[in-house]
Amino acid sequence: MKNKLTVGFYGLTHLGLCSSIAASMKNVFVIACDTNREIYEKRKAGIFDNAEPGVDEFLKKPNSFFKLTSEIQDLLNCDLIYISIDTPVNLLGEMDMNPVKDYYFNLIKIIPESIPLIILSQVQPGFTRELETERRNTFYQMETLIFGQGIKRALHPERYVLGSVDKYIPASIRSFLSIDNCEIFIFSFESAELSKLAINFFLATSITATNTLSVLAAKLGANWGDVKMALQNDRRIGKFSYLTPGLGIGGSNIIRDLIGLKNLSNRNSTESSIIDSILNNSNYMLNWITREFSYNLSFLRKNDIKIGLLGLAYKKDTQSTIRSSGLQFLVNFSKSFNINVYDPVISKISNMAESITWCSNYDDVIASSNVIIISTPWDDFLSHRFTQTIEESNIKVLIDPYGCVTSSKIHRNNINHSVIGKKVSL
Amino acid sequence: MVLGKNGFVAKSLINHLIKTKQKYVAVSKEDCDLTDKKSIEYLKPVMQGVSTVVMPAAISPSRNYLDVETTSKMAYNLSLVLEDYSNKHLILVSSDSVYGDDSNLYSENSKLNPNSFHGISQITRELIFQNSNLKNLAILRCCGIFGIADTHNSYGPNRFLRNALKSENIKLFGKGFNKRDHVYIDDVISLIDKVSFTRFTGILNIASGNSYSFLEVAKIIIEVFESKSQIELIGDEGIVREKNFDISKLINNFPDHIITNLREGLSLIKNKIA
Repeated sequence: MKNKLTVGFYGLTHLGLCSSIAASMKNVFVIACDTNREIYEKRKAGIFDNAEPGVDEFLKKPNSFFKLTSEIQDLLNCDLIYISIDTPVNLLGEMDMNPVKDYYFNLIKIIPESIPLIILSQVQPGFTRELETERRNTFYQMETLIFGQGIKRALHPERYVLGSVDKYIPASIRSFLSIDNCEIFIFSFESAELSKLAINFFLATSITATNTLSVLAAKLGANWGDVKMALQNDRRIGKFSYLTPGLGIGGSNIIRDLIGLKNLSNRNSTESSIIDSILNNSNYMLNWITREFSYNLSFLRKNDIKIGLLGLAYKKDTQSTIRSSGLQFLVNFSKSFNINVYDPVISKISNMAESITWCSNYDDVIASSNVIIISTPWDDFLSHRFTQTIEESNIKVLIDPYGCVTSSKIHRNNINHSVIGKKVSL
Repeated sequence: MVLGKNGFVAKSLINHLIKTKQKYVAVSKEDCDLTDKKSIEYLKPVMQGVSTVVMPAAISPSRNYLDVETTSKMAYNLSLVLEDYSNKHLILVSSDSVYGDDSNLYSENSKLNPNSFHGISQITRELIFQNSNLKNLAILRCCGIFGIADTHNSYGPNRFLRNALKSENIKLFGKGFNKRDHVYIDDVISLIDKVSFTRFTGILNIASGNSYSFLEVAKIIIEVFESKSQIELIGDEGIVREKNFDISKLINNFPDHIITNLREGLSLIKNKIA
């Protein structure tokens, strides 16, 4: 059955694209618009991030509810319009609100005030209230998409959180959000906007607690995997907590919100040293590979070292390399070592050192290296075939932060195997 | 230009420069007393043909206010010399004492929290150059440096080593549980060379990344040197502090630098003595 609503999404980066595709999958007419020609042309050609599940495939063969356009006037036919550009960050990692404002002011020039506008972009508390003074019928909606799970998260939201000037939302918005049968919370602008930052802050604290304890576990001879099980079965922590250790807080989103919160806290004279600790810990974990490699370096003569780096994306299911431990290692260590690299979705990064060999599969990397570093836990590296290839190789050192390889043969082959949260004997 | 040429670091650096056939000018306190304003006139013309200045010279350790003043004066006069040479690469050999002695994992981002006159004097030197017009300043914050040519005989590997060689008792404060990072002199020299070669600028902690209690240090020294020395526990060591270093920045900037751990460093010293 077709829903009569037409929903506009203005801004087609990750947030707008995944949200608009998911909306069309709910049988809602969608006008997906971006006036940025480069973005529009790419989407038209079916190009986004080939690691984000389902997006490129959808763009190449969209359903009948989805209309892609670069004409802002096409949004005039919508019952509600989302401003859905991902808020970029500046060099300090802070939100740059100007592009969101530009998109908003582009819209209000031509969209009548009777059509509700909803800010879906990531904003600082107070932002939407400022806009609402320019135009009534402006709202804020909290987004909780994740890179690598964009469409899935937009299809199955846990709840909706909206910000409104008087806790009222129009019927068109309510009707669209009701499709998902989840709870709709209507707060003040500030509460809704802060909720988004608060979620990322809590996630960051979990990541930091996990990383802090897992590194300690390895030193103490404890197995973080065991501790993790104990935590997952505690009702106050739970099975969905971020209990898998990793290489710091990758990407830009969580860091952006932490810096945003830190600035807000400073401006309002509240104590927030925990944020500095989180950022310090993230930097420490970002360098975990570097430290492990350095420890192993003492045991290998420099001239004998042939490094294979597997994975450049900061996590699986994305092409993004922002705050990627693998990329950082590559940039720093290619000054002194020859490095063979393979990532399933990043074939090459231009303007890099000539000492880097870009391979098209992991077999070539493993065959020509004696030190293997798995910096992104791609599914390929979790496969039985991958483990077998490692077992049959001549590698001496396996730096495997995520524990992709679990074979006991590794130890029998006298390979130094480093995993976050596991004691390694060298 | 190597300043303070009779000091531990400078002497070792000069040996390295000779061995690797690099050109250098070495200046001692006798040639030019940096606490004296006349040093400015002496150094200015000499500085002309110099690309890199290595400045380990300081009262080390600075034990009181007067030592801080003297050390600061040395740095200040050098900064006046360099006023006309803002493009020179200055490598300031500083100390981890700027962080204080609290138990922590320190990195270059750690807050400065000195609890000694020595720490204050090192921070003052750093600030003098950071606030000068120098464009290429490298600050190397070294942990306790050990090596046979040490001139300070400070508590730790250097003193224990002397004790062990003479089969004297190694005296530890309290139970010797305080933990510190110790870096081998050859590693420091190799890094100064790399910092100079790459014209690195910024702050870098020079540490091994492994901390040992003084008790462990004493035991390792006795073992490596097969010494008959006994460990003697004396007095009080106060609150036990465990000072550790995250050396990620060092490794990222100098990936091929191989760290000599304490035991290896001591074995190298043993071989040199033999």
